[in-house]
Amino acid sequence: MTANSTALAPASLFVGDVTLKGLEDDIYRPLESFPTTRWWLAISFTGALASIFALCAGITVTQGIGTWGNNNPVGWGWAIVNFVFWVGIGHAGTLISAILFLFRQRWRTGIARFAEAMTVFAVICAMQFPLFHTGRPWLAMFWLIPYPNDQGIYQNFRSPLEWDVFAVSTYGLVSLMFWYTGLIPDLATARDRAKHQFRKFVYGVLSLGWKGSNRAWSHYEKAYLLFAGLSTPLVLSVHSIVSFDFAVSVIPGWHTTIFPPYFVAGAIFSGFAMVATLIIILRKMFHLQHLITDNHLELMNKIIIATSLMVGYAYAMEFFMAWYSGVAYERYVFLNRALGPYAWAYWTMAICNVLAPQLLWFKKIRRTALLMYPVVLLVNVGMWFERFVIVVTSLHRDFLPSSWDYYKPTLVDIGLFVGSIGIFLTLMLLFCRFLPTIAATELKVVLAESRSEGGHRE
Amino acid sequence: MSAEPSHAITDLIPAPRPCAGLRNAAVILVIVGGLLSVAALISDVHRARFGFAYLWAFSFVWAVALGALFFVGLQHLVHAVWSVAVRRIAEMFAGLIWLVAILFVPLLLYCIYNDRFGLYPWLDANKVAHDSLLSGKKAYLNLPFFTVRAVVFFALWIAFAAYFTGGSLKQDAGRGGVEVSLRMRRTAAPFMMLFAVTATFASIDWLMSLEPLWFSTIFGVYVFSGMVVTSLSIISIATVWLRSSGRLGRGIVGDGHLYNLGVLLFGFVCFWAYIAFSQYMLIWYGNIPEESFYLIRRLDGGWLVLSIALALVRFVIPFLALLSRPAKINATRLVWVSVLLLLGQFLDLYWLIMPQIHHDQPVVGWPEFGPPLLMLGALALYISHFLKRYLPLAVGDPLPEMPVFLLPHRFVRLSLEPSYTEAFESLARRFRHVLEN
Repeated sequence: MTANSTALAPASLFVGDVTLKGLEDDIYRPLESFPTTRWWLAISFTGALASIFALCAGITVTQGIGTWGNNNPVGWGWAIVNFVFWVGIGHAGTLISAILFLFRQRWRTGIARFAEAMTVFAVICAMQFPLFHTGRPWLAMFWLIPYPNDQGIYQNFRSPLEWDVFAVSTYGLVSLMFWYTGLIPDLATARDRAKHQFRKFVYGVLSLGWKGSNRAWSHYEKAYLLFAGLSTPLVLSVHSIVSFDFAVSVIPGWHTTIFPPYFVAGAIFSGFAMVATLIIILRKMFHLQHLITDNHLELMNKIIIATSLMVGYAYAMEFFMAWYSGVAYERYVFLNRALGPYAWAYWTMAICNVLAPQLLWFKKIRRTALLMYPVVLLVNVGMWFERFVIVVTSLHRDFLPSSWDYYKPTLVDIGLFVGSIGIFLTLMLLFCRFLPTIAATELKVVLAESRSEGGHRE
Repeated sequence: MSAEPSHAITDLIPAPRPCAGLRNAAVILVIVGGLLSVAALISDVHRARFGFAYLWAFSFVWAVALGALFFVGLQHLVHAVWSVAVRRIAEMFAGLIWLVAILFVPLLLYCIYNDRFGLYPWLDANKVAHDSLLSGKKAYLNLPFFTVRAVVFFALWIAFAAYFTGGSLKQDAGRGGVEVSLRMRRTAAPFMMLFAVTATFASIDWLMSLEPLWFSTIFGVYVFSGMVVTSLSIISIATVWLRSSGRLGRGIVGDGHLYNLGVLLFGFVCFWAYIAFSQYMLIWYGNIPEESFYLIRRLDGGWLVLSIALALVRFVIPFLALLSRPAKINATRLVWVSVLLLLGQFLDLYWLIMPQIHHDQPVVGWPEFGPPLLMLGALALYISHFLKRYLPLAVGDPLPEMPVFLLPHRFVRLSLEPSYTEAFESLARRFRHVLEN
């Protein structure tokens, strides 16, 4: 084969001479060595942040929701913003593991495990906000989950908030099971590599006695495919239902038909940005640049720019239709977004989500971790602001001008959000130390395949 | 490098030859459709119905051509390898877009002589003057701007179709190899952006503005999803037909290709349902009169049956028929599901367009048959013309390797070059035999 036509071949997923043994050693090294000082420093910091969450949650529970900034027109404040933000982040994992699997995208293997873990932790963070918004989380089970009771009182099944309970908990559970199913062969490897008896025992239990027999693999592959098939509609449904929280209402700025696909695109956008944000640090700290290569970053950046454009399309379409509809309230809400008291938030969102990702048109930026890093950080910020803009600007000036108000978060609001970041990062740090961050077994298959292809090419 | 293998692969598939049967059928369709159309046009009673029927049939061929153009662009964008074997078929349908542009001219003439046809209410100056909502939209909904937009849309689509289809045909002729492929990949991204904007506003202009008071932000995506299903259906039908008639050579388009087409079709059928449900559910739930009237009209009287049929034909039946994996490799099933989905597209467009003229119930009579027959005839004529001149396979594509499918999920990567068919005939059959037992 001439060098000419190989220009069209898919990019390599490995850098340098990667061997099966070397690959395994590199992935399992963090599990088998004592954490570095840097890791201890990092987890102390994130743990401290997480404790802020505990503190603010305590204040909320003991003193009530009045400690939050919610006011009369803005009945939903940071809590729902944070909820949607975290659920959105939780989208990349299952998209990578399910949809990219069905599309036979082999590059997903390098980042799938990490993204799935992120999904599970992000959903955990997301659930905190509606839970504490109920005021008495220990009673929430009775309020949220329909169960037969002698009072004959049931949840309002016509409320999208109730659909959320089902959608998010289903998504969380399926993501967790999908993640765990994928982990089983890798946990077995951790067990087989273990030197200490206790370690062998723990990983042995976790790997459910995996032996790697033909029959086990056959069942495993089948289960994985089924999970992928089941998760795919879930990826779309969760954020569609989250968007229904807003869109089934008749509030201008919330009630618009493009919301479901727009929210899904935004969720994938923010999820990929968060994966990129964290995986760049991971591959640097654990020296995994030869397994999570610049080619992986480039492909992720392409998805980021594609979804950024989809989100931009939705922003533009909302504005156009607000004008085209001729409805005075629709027009006012959108003008108020761009020029009103929250214009700063609106333009932050537009710049971070639509303008900044345009830098990724440059190949050099897509492929250089240091150059793309500011972009993905901005996307993380921008996607939080998107939810803020949707929630707060649509509410703060409602149909009755006498009740217009300006929403400001309180310290408790801020503490809960910062604290949830702490919970998320703490869980990520623990994950990096106790579980293989890359799907080692799957990656070995990809490595073997790419080698045999190299043979073909000659 | 490009010259030698393309010689080799062209030996494996038959040279282009005329398809007399298709051409004759096409000519008959064009004549019958044309006569019916003219008859409806000159009759004072049926003229308005003819106008709507023309828009209906026009939107169908438009969706075929533009959906195929999207398919071609998408394959370049994602650097797809498997689809090389079917991409030319999509390129063929994408090349139809210039014919669609010609077919748009009569539509524009109706708009100019709107007082006689009454297609778009916003063209009625009297009506606009007495309706503050309509006159508020005058900046967008006016004939000069409408025309300018249409010209820009068609100019862009024709340019891109010429670029992608022309580039691929150039490779067949041995001119331009890897460079052309790489350039098409680079162009695919900006193409997608322009496609999204133009397809959206074309759907708003031609379909949504039939009811100028109604609005839905998802409308462009709705039309797009139906468009992609339509083009995938027609590509699937053409692939199976060309394969069985021997025009694609032997072993080049395998079950794996059908499987992939089936997967995409299944995926976009679900996507259409998702978008349609999102639009319907949110409007129904919000229940604001200024947008719900559009749906109420389509759920009232005789239209209810059609709305239910739409859900069955466009989603429920194809979903169940394509769900299992063997179903997607079954050529017969793929074809009948695709035919059903093409009917579904006609149904969907009918559902969008016709309630504007027949308020109480769907009406189908001979005036509704003229334009669809005419345009299907034109489509068939175009295909027979294309196949007479060009190969239905992109033989000049310099892709280094193509997956030869043994089973839907198991394939070996092989060169597209001479070894391709040979490998499939000997090696693949042995593997297939082993795997099947």
